[in-house]
Amino acid sequence: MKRLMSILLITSLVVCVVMLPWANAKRKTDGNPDGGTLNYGEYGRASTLDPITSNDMISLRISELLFNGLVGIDEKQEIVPELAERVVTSEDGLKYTFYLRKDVTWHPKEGEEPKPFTADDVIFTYNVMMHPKTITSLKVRFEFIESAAKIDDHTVEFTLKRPILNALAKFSFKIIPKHGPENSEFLTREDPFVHKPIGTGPYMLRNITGDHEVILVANEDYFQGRPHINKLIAKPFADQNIMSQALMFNAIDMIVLVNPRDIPQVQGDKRFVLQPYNALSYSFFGYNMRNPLLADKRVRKAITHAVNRQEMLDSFFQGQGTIISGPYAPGSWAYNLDVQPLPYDLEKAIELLNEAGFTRGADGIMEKDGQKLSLTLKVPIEKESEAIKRVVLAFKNYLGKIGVDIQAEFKEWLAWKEDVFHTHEFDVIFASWVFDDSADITSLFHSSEIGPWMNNFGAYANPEVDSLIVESKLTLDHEKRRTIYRKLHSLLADECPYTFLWTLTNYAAYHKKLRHVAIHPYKFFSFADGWYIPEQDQQ
Amino acid sequence: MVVLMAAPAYPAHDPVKRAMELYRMHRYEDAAAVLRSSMASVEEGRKSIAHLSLGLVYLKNAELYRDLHRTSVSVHLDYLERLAAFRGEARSRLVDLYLGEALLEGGRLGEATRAFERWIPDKSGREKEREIARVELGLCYHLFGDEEKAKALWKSVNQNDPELLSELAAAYSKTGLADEDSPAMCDRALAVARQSGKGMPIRVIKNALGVYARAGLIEKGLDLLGLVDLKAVSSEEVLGENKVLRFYDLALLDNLAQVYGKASIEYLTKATKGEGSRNAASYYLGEAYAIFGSIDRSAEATSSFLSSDGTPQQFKAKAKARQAALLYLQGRKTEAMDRWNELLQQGSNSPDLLADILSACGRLGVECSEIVSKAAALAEAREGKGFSGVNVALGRYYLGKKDYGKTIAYMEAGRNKGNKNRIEYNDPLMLINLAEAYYRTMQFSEALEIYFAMSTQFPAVRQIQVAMQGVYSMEQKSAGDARIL
Repeated sequence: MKRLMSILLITSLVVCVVMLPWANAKRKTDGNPDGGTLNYGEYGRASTLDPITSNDMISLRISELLFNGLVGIDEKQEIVPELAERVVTSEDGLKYTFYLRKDVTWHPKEGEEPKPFTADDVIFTYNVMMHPKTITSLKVRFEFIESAAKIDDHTVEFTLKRPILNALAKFSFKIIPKHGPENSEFLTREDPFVHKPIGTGPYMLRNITGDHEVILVANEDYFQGRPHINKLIAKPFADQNIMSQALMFNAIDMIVLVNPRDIPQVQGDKRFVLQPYNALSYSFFGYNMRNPLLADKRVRKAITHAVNRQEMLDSFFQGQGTIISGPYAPGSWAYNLDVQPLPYDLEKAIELLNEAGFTRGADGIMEKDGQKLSLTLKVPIEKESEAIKRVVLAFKNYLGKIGVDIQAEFKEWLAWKEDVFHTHEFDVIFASWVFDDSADITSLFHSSEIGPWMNNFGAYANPEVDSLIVESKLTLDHEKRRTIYRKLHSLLADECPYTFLWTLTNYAAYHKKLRHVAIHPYKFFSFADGWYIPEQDQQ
Repeated sequence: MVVLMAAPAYPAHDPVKRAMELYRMHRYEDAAAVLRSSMASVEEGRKSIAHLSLGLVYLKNAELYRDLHRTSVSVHLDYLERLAAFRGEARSRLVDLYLGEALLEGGRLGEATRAFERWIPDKSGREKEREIARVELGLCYHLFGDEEKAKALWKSVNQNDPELLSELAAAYSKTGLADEDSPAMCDRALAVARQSGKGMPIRVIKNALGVYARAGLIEKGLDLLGLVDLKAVSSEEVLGENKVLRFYDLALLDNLAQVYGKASIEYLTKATKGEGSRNAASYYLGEAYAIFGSIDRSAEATSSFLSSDGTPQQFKAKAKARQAALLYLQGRKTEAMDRWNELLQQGSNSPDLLADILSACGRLGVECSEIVSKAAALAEAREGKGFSGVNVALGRYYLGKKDYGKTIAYMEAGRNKGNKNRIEYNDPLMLINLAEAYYRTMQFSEALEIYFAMSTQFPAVRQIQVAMQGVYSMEQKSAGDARIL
C-alpha cells in the first residue's frame, strides 16, 4: 500500500483505491483478557476534551481515546483504516473519496440510544473546523481543501485546491458528531460539548470528578473491538515530583512523561518499565512582538546571547537533554545540522542592546527613550517543578547581568493559556512545543496565525518566513521541502522569535502488569485499545 | 567498562591516565589526541604502557567506525534509491553516481557496475564526475576479473586533478596492482590539493586514508585526520533556488576503521615488547587481529596471553572464549560449541563472559539457543551495571537476526536511561546498534537523536544523519500538528 500511495501522491498518474479491511466483531480476537483499571498521571488538567478547540498535549491524549479519524497511522507508519473503509483518489490527486464504515455508532448520550456515524458527521466536522468563529489552531492544516461534499450517507468527497505531499495522512483529523455541539455552525470553548464530548473511540467519557480526574470507560460497541481495559482514569498532578512518588507507591500505574530527575529511580525499580517515545518537543522562551521593545530583533538576540543554556541544562536537568539552535527538535528530519546555537556571550548581548539604542539607567536597568527594559515572564504553574523554578530564577539572573529586568509570574494552566493565547498579556513566556513528525511550523510562525487562540502567540511576522512556509506547502518534492525547512531553521535561529532552549529525554513509565503497551510518539494512546492487564493483576 | 591494563601508580596529570579516563567515557578521539600529542615526552620506561593505551583506544574506535560504515551504506542505499526514483523536473544529475558508489561499498558489484555503465554515457554529469565513475567502473570490472577492461578505462583519467588522481590510486590499491605506487599518487594528490588553495576535498582524504592503511603507512594516515573536517560533503548539488542535495563519501568511514584497526595492531604489537604491558597487549592484540587481521595471528597472540602467568582469571576465560570463536572460523564448529559450554559451566554465569560468547555467536552467525536462553534468563533475573553487557550482547545477537523488536527491548534494558544518548554513559557501539534497530522500525527520531549526540565526538557521522533525515522526510506521515506540552 505504501508504494501505491507514494506513486499516487507523487506522480498522480493512477487512480488509487485503498481497500481497508474491517471486521464486524465487537470483541477483540487476540485472546487477551478484558478487565482492570488503568490510572495514569498527567502533569495538569485538560483545558478541553474535544479534538478541535484544544491545543495542548493533555487534551490531545484524552481526545485520542474518545475519537477517531477517517484514517489513522499505525506503529509501522502505515496509513490504516479508521472510520473510512476505502479511499479512492483521482488521477490528478485532487479528489479523495472516502467510503465510510457502516458499523460505527457514536457514544450514547445519557438516556439515548447510540446514533450511527454517517457522512453528515464528516461534513459537519470539516465545516465546523473551518468556520471563522471556531476557536482552533487546526484551520491552517486544512487550507489545501477546496470543498467537502456528501455523496451519500456513507460516502464523502474532498476536493483539494492542489495536490500536496502526504495528503491522505491529513485526513486523520478526528470526527465529531453533528448532534454533539449545541451550536450547529461553529465550536467555541463555551459549548458544553468541549467538556462533555461524545465520540466513536475505544473509550467513553463517564465523568470528571471534583478533583479534575477524567474517568473513561470502555466502549463495548467499539467498531475495532472492545478495548481490553475496563476503565482509564487520568489524574492531574500539580507537581511532577509528587506524580513520580505516586507511581512508586502504586497510587497510579502509568506516567505519561517522567520527570528527567526521576528517571534513574524508576529505572532502578523492577516493577516498572521505562519506555522512550520520541515526541519531537523542545522548550523555549517566547517573546511578544506586540511589545515594541521586543519587536527589535537585536533585543531578542541579546537575551539569547545572555542565557547560558548549557549551564542550565547541566545544573537543573543533570544534562539529560540537548541544546537546540532552531525551531525543530534534533530528532526531526527538518533540523538543520549546520546551524549552531548562539553562544553564551554577555559582551555581545550588551553590544546588541547598545546598538538597539539602550543604555543603562541609574538602577542598572537598560532603558531607551525613558522606557525601561523590564519584562514580565509568565510560566504555567503546572510547570512549577523545582527544575523549572530554577530555570526561571536563572533566566532572571542572567538577564540581570545585561540590565534586563524580569518579573516572573506563575499562573494556573488555564489562566496562563488565557493570557498567552487569548489576551496576549505577557512579554516573555516559558513553554514547550510538541510536534508530530511533519515538522510543520506554520501555525507557530506564519503571520496569518496571529490572533486569539492561535499558536503564533507572539505575533511574529516576517514576509520571508511566510513565503518559505507557503512554498514548502506547495511543493511535491520532498528534498525541496527539506531544503526550505533548513532555510527556515537558519532564518528563525537568527531572528530569535524564541530563545530556543533544549529537548529533554521523553520516557513514559508504567507498571509491568500492563501488557502489550505500544505508545504513539505523539498521540500516546493511539494503540491503547490493545493494552491489557492479566486477570491476576486486575485487582 | 572493565579494562585489562598494567596498573602502575600514575603521577598526577599523567597523559596516559587522562587518556584512559577519556577512553572510559568513550571519547576515543580525544583520548587518542592526548596520547599522540604527548607520546614523545613520555619517559622511555612508560612508553609501552602508552602504546598499550593508544592501541586500545584505536581498537575501540576501529570497531565503532566499522559499524558506522555498515550503517551508513545501508541507510544511504535506502536514501539514494528513493532519490533516484524521483522523476520530477529537478531530478539530481549526481544521484546515480553516488548510488553506484553506495552499491559498490555495499558489495553489490553487479548492480554497481550497471549503475555506472548507465550513468557514464548519460551526459547529465560533468566530465570530472564521469571520470570518477569510470574509475569506479574499472574497479568493478577488475573485481570481476576483467583486468584489461579496467585498465582501458583507467588509462585516460586526468591525473592532474587531485580527486581523480586519488580515486585512481585507491582503485589501484584495492586491486593490489603492484606496479602502481598508490601512496605516492596520494601524496601527489594531497600536495596538488594543498597548492590549489581551494581547500582539501574530502574525496582526496578518503582515498588517501584507504591507500595508506592498505600500504601500512599508518602514521601518515593518522596525521591526515587532523587536517580535515570529517563531516564535509563530497558534493553539493544545487537544483534551483530551494533545492540542495548533499552527497557523501561512504568509504571514508571504512577507511577510518582500517586506519584505526591497523594502528591498534601496530601499537599493541609495540606494547607486547614492554615487560609491564606484555600480557594485556597480547590479550587485546588477539582481539584486534581477530577483527581486522588474521585468524592465525589472533590465535598466536591469544595463546601467548593464555600461557602467561599472573593474568586475571576473568580475562583468561574471555580469551578462551575467543579461542573457541577462532576454532569455529577454522571450521571446527562442534569443538567450539563444546568449549563455550564448558567455559560457561566453569564461569558460573559470569555476565561478562556470557556477553563475550554471545557477541562471538552473533558475529559468526552461530545458532546458539542454549547460550541465548541462559543469557536471557540472567538478563531477566538481574539488573544493574554488571548485567548491562548481557542485555547489550543479546540485543546485538538479535540485531544480527534482524529481530529489531528484541534488539530494542534488550538494548534499552542495558541503556543508561538517565543519560540515554550520551556516549559518556553508554557504549557508542551499543548506541549505533540501537539506532539501527530504531531506524529499521521507522522510529527515526530515536535514531537521529543518538547520532545528534554522537556527532560532537564523531563528526564523520554527519553522512548518516543527512541520509537518515532524507529517508525520514520521505517516509513521514502525519497531519502537521503542534501543541503546547
